[in-house]
Amino acid sequence: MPLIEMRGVTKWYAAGGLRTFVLRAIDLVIEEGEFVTIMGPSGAGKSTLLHIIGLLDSPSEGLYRFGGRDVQGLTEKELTEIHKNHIGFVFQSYHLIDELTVFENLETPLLYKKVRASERKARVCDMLDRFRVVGKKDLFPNQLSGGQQQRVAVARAVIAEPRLILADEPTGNLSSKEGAEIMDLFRELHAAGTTIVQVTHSEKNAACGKRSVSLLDGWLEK
Amino acid sequence: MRPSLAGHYIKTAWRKARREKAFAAINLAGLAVGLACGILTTLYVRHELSFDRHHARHDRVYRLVTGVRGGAYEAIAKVPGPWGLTARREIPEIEEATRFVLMNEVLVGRSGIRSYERGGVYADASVFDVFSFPLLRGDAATALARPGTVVVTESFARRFFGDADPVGGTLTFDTKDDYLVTGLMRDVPAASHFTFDFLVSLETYANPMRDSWKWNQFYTYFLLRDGASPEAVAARFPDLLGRNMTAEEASGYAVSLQKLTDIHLRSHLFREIEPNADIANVYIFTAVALLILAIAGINFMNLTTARALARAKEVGVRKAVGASRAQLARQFLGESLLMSAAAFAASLGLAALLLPAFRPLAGRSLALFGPSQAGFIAAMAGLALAVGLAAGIYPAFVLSSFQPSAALRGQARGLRGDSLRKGLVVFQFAASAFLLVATGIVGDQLRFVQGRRLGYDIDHLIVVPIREDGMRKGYETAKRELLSVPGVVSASASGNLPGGSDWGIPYEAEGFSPDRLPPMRQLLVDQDFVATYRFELASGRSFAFDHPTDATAAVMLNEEAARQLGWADPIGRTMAVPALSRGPSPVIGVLEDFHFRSLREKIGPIMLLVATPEMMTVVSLRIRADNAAATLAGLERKWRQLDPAHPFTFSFLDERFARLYERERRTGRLLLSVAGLAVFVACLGLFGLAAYAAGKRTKEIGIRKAVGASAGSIVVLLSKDFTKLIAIGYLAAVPAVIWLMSRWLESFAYRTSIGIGPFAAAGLAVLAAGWLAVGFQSFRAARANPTDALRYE
Repeated sequence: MPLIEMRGVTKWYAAGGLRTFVLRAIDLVIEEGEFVTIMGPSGAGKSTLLHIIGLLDSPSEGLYRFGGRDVQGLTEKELTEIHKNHIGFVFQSYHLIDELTVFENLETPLLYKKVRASERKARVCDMLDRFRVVGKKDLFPNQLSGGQQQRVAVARAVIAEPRLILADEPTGNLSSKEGAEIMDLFRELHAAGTTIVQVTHSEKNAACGKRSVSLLDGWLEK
Repeated sequence: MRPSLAGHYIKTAWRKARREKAFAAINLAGLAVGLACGILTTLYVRHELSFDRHHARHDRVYRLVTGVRGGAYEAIAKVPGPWGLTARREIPEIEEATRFVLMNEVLVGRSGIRSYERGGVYADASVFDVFSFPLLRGDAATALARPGTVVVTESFARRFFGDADPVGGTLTFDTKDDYLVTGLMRDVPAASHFTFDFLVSLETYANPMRDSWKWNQFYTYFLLRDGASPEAVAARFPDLLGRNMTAEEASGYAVSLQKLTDIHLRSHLFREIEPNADIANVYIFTAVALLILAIAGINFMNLTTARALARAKEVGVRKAVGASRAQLARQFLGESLLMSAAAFAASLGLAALLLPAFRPLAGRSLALFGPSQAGFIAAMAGLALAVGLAAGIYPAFVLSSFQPSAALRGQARGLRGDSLRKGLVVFQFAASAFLLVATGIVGDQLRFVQGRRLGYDIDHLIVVPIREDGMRKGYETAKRELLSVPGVVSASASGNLPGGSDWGIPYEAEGFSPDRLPPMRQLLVDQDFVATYRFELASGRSFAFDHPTDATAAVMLNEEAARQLGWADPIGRTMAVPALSRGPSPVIGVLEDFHFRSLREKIGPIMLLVATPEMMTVVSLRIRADNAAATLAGLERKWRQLDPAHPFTFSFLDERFARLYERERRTGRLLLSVAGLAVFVACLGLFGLAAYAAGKRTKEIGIRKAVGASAGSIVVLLSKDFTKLIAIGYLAAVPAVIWLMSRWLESFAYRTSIGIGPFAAAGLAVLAAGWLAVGFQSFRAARANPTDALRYE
């Protein structure tokens, strides 16, 4: 059973009586453990596709099964459950919560998962160590460099041990050295069995993935 | 909510507030002001509603009042003396009756301590059966049974006895009569429709009219038996009156019983013991407080929702990492509850701070903290949380509903209800402008009444009461002696004074039958009065010593009196006042019209007569403006020689006149503070709306700046819409305030016209305040780096 299965997924926005199509009849199957790269020029619909995969947005038409479950029929509560337990996000502009320290940012997904305090602490410390930000744990995001922030963001994405990591231009705001570090992290995660879907412009980053798909004007090109 | 998550939310909220200090402070202040307003008003309303409820049997106590058909007033709070006692004897439903007669000011002395006391009341011995005045010492059953006994309150006793036990001690009244203190009672609570310092047994009261059925001088209260109906009791009165009065007299009385607890807020009879408050004020205060609270709550909601746009990203992130909608709603609701709790704490402080200023406005003695206030404080805390909850639900709902992918792209959905928000701003500014203009007009009128020429000169005129009969009889000697004090320009004795104490005794005028006479007031004066007060003579002459008959057979009029009597040439016409033993006396002079009452009243007809010595009650002295302190000291020394028994007391006539407008001055002060509050709250609303608008137009502003707009032009762009709202509010207020304030001014016979001044001032004030509120937001938005605004996508 594939982790992600899309059949004829279409997304449009109604604007002034006209439909603006962002995605058109997407068929996409991603197996558990794959590392897939979505490529394409600006405005091709990459981020929208990623958001739909991550259940942050819903398709206008078509079928989408996540882990074998039809997503359309799910309640908001069930969607939240899937978010919490199975999906981790990494964004281009990091999207850490400004008011929280590194430690607290990492702790947030566990709080929503109602993990006990002692276990929370242990797992956050483990992450701090693994992603080499132990010394930064009491700093706020605006006190970190871009690369450091993105490392924290990746740590936050994986702390809940999701099956799927979705990364939207994860290196877009980073220097090439910082970017390379982040890609190394993804490779490690992939090696450990996590499914990864990334959106990128960069051929070099795409090379990290095992499979590439391209979007152009909302069409998926195999 | 689990503690760990709650802690996490509190941490986030606290750091957010610290980061956006201005926003947090303003939001907090707005709610705190609204709550403080609610607290103070509730305190006031609670106090007003608690009057006379400290009496254990208050629900069975009624006051006897009488309407007088065809009288000068509709109903009077007093009845003849025998009524209460007769009713108690004859009507079984009346368990007990007690009567009060007010005492005049009296000089009370005890071993070297002497002071004038106004707080004395004659009372029946049964006063302690009807009312709950707990005696600390003495026996309530017998304390006031005998003549010459007095029960004193604690604070009165402390003045004369210090910490010693007053019971068994003696007080000397008017330097000659000794009274035995037979009881010590707690001070009368402030929430009483009348208070006193000491009770003298009514047995002592030796007025020859005491037992007359024709003399309305007794405040009379009944304690009805359990379950007795006041209507049934009142129904027995006509029969009772019929047996004790002539049929004609009895038919003139309309009798009713008034519930004790209704007196303070609902009774406005002639001769109330103390002026009562008005239930309308309670309603108005409650309405205004609820309005301010509601507006503060809505502003709180607006500001929070507006700031929510800036938190769209946070919502998106939290949803992406697994927050459920309910968890997010709880987070934002919790924040708003936290904010309201902080605002409540601040509002308590604010209320405590404002209380001393509020007391004179509300005219009451109020206390915020105290052992009996715990329930009140808890109720207010509940109210604060309810406001926080109500105001927090909407933002919580909106924030938690953000579509995560849109929120992350910075495209938070706009909020509906724009016109509602704008309507609120218009309304707030209409209310602010209304109150400001009204304040200005009240101020104009106060300046007008105090600046108006009265027709005589009240500056540097002092009034000294005559206390001693010997001095009264030899008042001419006393005047001469006082005139010898350096700085005293002239002196006059009189029985009453301009400023409201004129008399209205029936009179006769040649050529008139009694039923055709216009109402006429009287001033009882001496021959120096016209010159001392500097009245203007219109025709004829003033009273003079070289016309000996002036003292017994001469009158002066004002022009209005001559006009209403229809006398083109009044000099030589005759008038009489039989009740003052004044036979037909010729008019010798006419004074130009002068204000002898407040300017609320039209100048009416008045006549002046020379009083007999025993009628004299005051000496008026005109003193030189310079060195008044030395003159007053000289007068006091002289007074001590003339009347060693009574300390020298005096008042300035202009201050007495200023007190005529105390109510207006209080209204003005109250209006001003409410107006200030309204402007503040309105600016908060505007601030919230501006923040919201600036947030929504971030991208537009970015583009405009990118294509070269200056910061100044952006500020103008953003301020333009709000200026329009302020202008609409202001214009809506103008007709309303003109209408209402014209009605108010009509309560004055002499009034200023409504000028442009208050409107201009109020308009400038609301505009300036509004621009300040909007300007802050606009300036922030205009200064922002355009690339930040355009970064998304």
